[in-house]
Amino acid sequence: MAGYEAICTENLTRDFKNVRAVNNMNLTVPAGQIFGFLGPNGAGKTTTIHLLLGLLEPTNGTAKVLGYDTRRVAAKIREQTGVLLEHTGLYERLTAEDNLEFYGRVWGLTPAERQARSKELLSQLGLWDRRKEVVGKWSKGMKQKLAIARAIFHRPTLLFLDEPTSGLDPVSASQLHQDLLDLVKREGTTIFLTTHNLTEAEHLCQQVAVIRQGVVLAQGSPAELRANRGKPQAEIEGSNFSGRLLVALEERPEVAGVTLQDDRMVLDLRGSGVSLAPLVRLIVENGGQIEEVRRASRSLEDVFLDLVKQN
Amino acid sequence: MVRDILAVVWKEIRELFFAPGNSIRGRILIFIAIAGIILPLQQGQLWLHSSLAVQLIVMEPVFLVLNVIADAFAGERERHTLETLLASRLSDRSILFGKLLTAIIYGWAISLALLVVGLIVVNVAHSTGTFMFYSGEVLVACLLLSLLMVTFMAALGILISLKAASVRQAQQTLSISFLVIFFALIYGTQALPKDWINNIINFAGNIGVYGVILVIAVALVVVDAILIGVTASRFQRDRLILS
Repeated sequence: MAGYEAICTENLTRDFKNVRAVNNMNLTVPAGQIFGFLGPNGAGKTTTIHLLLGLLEPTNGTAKVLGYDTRRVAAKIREQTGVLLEHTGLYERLTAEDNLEFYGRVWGLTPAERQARSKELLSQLGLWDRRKEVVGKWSKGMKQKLAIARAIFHRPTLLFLDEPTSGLDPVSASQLHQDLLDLVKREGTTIFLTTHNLTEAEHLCQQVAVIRQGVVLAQGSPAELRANRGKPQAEIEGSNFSGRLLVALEERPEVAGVTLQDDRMVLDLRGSGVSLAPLVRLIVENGGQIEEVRRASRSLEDVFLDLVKQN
Repeated sequence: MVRDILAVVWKEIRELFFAPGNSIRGRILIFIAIAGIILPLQQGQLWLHSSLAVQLIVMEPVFLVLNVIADAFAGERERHTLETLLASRLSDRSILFGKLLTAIIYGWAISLALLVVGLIVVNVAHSTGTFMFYSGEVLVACLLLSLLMVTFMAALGILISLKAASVRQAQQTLSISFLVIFFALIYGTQALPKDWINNIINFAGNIGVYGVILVIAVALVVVDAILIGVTASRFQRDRLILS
């Protein structure tokens, strides 16, 4: 599966009366990866998913999903995708087993396949013993797990997950993360994941895009985004950081700036490849006592907040 | 496509009959008790030849269908299941005809149940020693007209349900629409010039009971076909997803 683009949009635009929900979006999602689609509420994430599934017609531009044009062969796209949207979409008056049975029938699985897959997924998610219960009486987390089982029931090539860990306890969320990583590794599934949980995105996604007001602000791997958006820094904890030492550090060509906060000194570096050893030697030679030295890395959350605030 | 339609029918039937707390089974039993047991008991052998049997066996299922069909799309929308259903591989036609077919099967099955239960009641309670059966006219009218009437109600219900914001709104609109059509037919017929009414009566007399059934059936087939066509044209994923 890997090696081609699962999703490719060109100037994808969608207007609702006077509101431009998606604005000239150019997005590339490589196959066989988990792609994070990050944005604040109302950024256009759900509209983008609707456009990619061919549920909405674009006002302008094009989108190809799994090689199919969303305007012309949306049915082909939906045949090969699984979805967990904002709402779980479960039939709450039916049992867990019936919910999976229905979507198994929808995807044309044989009775034996439906039974086996149902047992496999419900057991994996710890729901097998409760399969005959009506879903409406379940907790949000259990419903979310069942909705995920439904989304992957037919082993889709591409999976759209909208906030999949919302409502899950930390243990279940962590289990789900592992399951998603396994799914990608084992079956080459591409996952298009929208989330507000940036730690989750950082942990799971090989590529992310940040969107706001329908515009893609940045796209790349979390590491690329961090590298592009933030200056490299070094944090040094210790004592005896004198004024003379600060001046000496500022005079070094690889140092762009020095900030001292109590026993913590932060050096802004001119490039991520700067070696810290000469700087450490300089500090020691100037009487500084070092407890700890570390390269400071900006989290995806910092990058996300910067991007969203700037735009 | 047939397999997809049957998948939708399967789901609809599970939700309709097997959902806990659903009062539909109770309602069906009440209707069957009235038009399948009490009235045949009172009327005896006459029931098998009466126009009252035709009226009840044709119209009772229509009211039961009215009650459930409003839920078709408005219910999916209200319970937030529509978006996921529309994002599945099912075609527009499969979803639409799956829901339509369920309502028709449901309504027509009740008509058949009323026919069978009534027949058993009359033969058991008013036994003459020989097996009694419906007259040909009553049987044909019940089978054919009930099928076409529940199809009419199902198609009208789905059309309204597609646009309604909630199940309650769909039920209200559907009930009012049905009453308007019903009374328009009654008062419209009465308002016709006397010559026309006489001509219609003469025409009915000339073509006989089977002829009248056929004319009504043809008229209903045309109306049903138009309604289904309009409903199919109104089923648009982008409109539904935004509603």
